[in-house]
Amino acid sequence: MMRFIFTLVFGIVFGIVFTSFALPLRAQEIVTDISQYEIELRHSFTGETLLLFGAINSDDVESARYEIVIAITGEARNHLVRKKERVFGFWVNTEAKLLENVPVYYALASTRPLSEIADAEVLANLKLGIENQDFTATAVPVDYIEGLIRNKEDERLFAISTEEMPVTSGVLFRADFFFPATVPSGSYTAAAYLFKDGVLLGRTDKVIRIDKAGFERAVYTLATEQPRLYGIMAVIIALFAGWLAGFVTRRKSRLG
Amino acid sequence: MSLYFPIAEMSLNVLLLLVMGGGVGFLSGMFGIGGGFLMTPLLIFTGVPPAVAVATEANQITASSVSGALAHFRRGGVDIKMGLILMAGGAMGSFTGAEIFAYLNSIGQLDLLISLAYVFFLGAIGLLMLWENFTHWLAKARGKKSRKRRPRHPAWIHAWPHQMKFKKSHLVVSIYLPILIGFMVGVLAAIMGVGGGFVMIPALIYILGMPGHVVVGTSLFQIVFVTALVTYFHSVNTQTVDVVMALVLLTGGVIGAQLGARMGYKLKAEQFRTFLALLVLGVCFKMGFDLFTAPDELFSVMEMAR
Repeated sequence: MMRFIFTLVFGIVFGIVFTSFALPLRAQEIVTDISQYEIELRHSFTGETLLLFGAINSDDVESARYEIVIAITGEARNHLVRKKERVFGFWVNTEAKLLENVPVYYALASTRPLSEIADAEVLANLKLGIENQDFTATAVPVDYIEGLIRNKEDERLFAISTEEMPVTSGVLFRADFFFPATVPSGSYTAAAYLFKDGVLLGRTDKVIRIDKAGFERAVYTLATEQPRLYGIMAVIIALFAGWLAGFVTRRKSRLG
Repeated sequence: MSLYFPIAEMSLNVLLLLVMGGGVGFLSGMFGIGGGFLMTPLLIFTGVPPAVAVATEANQITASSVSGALAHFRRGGVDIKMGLILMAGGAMGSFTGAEIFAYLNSIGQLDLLISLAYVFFLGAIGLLMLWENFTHWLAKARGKKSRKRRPRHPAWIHAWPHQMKFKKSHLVVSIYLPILIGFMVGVLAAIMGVGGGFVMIPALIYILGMPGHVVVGTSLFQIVFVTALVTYFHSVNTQTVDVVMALVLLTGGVIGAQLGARMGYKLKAEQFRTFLALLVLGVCFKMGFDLFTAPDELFSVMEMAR
């Protein structure tokens, strides 16, 4: 009896795209999709919102309560955290600690607070939540780790959604993720987890590619990869623009 | 209208930048000042990382000085021999300054140095300007005609070796003196994102004793060269030059300078000198205040290169 086969992938890309999928492999699973697999951050943008959506594929969605967690993780990089202290009245950077393998971006959305979805041990094994990321388990003093997290949260590079992700008809879920213009380009993993009674039932992973597009990307890439050429070009552009500005204003004042 | 600036890694309102460029341009048109020492702090106050503010402003000064330098050059207002020697010193100075800049940036003390340099120089300039205005006013009140002190160069400079003749400036001075002046201005340009005219011009007049008609032109000539070098060194060492931002600032600056120059003809600029002095002191105070007040966030993060 396959009365309740929900194989619907519900997409809203600018409000119009719908796609259908066929047949699950297991009785309970989770199907997800993303509005864009490639995000291009353009120079005029302050950031980009990504919509991740999906469906629970199960035959007892009406009787059972399923929980969903979606985590988007950027590449791990080393981060240097500096601390300011008062020295002769001035606030000065004093000590610095290196935190290894900090994801450049970490965002999480869930149907309920994580602690109500599964036990701490389960969450730790799955590395769900900021406190379960590798970088928190180092010998670095806690205030540095907390300082890093606050900084990342301010820049919206760490974003733990406090809103409960709604599940429509017990089946369809969707969550928005904001990528500020400062996110580094690279590949990001979007993982969706399906829980029931604190047990993980299924998981899907998608890869998102983030690129800095067009003019802004060209400037950034040139500056970091060809710094000598960039420097020479910056000088030439300034000399030319300055000459041009002088030329234009002189003409104007002669006419006027 | 917000624009994302790729090197500063932040979005800023273009209108705000145009107004800032225009305002500082207005003052520089009116008073004939470079404006870098006001623009860099303003950029820092709007949240641009200090390192980016300094390097970007150096880039903008190259642009905003080039047409003035050309105009003086055509009029014969540049002592080329002196300019080249100042440049030699400026090249060494900007290289040294950029190395210090990069080193302090790597150990997290660059912002502190930039702030301290600004507090010191803005404080000194502001107070000097106020003092000059005050003595000028005092002389007027006493019914005497205020007279600029005649430049005289101190006797000790003739004791230095390798004297060189500068025909255009009617000078014979040791070659090391302009090299040293150029060097110091180069260091300042690299660390503060200024042209350094406020140090160069008094140094040329009071230390070297250069005649007035070649001072401004020669100073501009060297400023274009030194800020161009600073732009290049910062691009290579720390990747902190935001060309896009420099161009936006230049656009505002050109318009502002035009308006300022016209206003300068109509109004007695002397009345506004006190205003400029107070503005400089205000920026100095804000810069110093920020160093002494506890920041909201004690920790800062730098992503390390892969």
